[in-house]
Amino acid sequence: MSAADLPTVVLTGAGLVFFCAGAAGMVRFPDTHSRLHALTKADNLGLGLVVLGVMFQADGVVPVLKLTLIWILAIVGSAIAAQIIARATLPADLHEDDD
Amino acid sequence: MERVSVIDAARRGLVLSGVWLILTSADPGAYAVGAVTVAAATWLSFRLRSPRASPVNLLRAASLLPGFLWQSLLGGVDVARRALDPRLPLAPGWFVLPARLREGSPRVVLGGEFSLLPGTLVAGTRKDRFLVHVLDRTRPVEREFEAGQEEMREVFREVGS
Repeated sequence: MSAADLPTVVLTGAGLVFFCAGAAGMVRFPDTHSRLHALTKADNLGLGLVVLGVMFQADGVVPVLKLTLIWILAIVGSAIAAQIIARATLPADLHEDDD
Repeated sequence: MERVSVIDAARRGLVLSGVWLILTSADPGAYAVGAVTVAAATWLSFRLRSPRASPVNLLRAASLLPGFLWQSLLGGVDVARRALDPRLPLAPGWFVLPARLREGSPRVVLGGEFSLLPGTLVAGTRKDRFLVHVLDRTRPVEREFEAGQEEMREVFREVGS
């Protein structure tokens, strides 16, 4: 095991814990909007930690930039998707007259 | 679509070319596909955001980044704790809060930001009010949201900064 492997194991391991927590929230939370909280927040943090961990294995600066960009695109995507799904599943008392 | 100057198009095209080069590790085999993709993405970006739109205050945005990253870390920890707690401590509910940002990108960006911060999820606006879902109704959501909205007004130059 090289010196870089330890942070990789710790960070990706922590990231997987957050993915599991996100999945647990998806199953256990009572309604669509609460479930979206679990998916957006826990999974983004999980992905961020996995990305950070994998960076320790990266060879040069381009892979690091690529990993960072992937993370940014994933969080932007999930922030937008969460708003759209939240909007599409509004409870009746919040969208009665859309004018 | 409004008229777009060569300089505006070149500026956005350069940024998007940079994104493409990073994503493909600057593989020469991907140049041809990249040229078409960057052209299409540049065209789409002008459809979605006019070249006349006032430029974003990038320095102010960058100054918010450390706090945002820290808060989104807390957001992940908070929701993970609630999801794994056997008692499932949730008090979900809705806040309807006044929107003081212009329509379009400023509201979407604020909504995205607060959808990643602890305990809040934004479902757009209705009648100039943000619909904000929260996991815990007892937290001071109004104050946090108002502060975030004020920061976003500075980023989008809706107030002097």
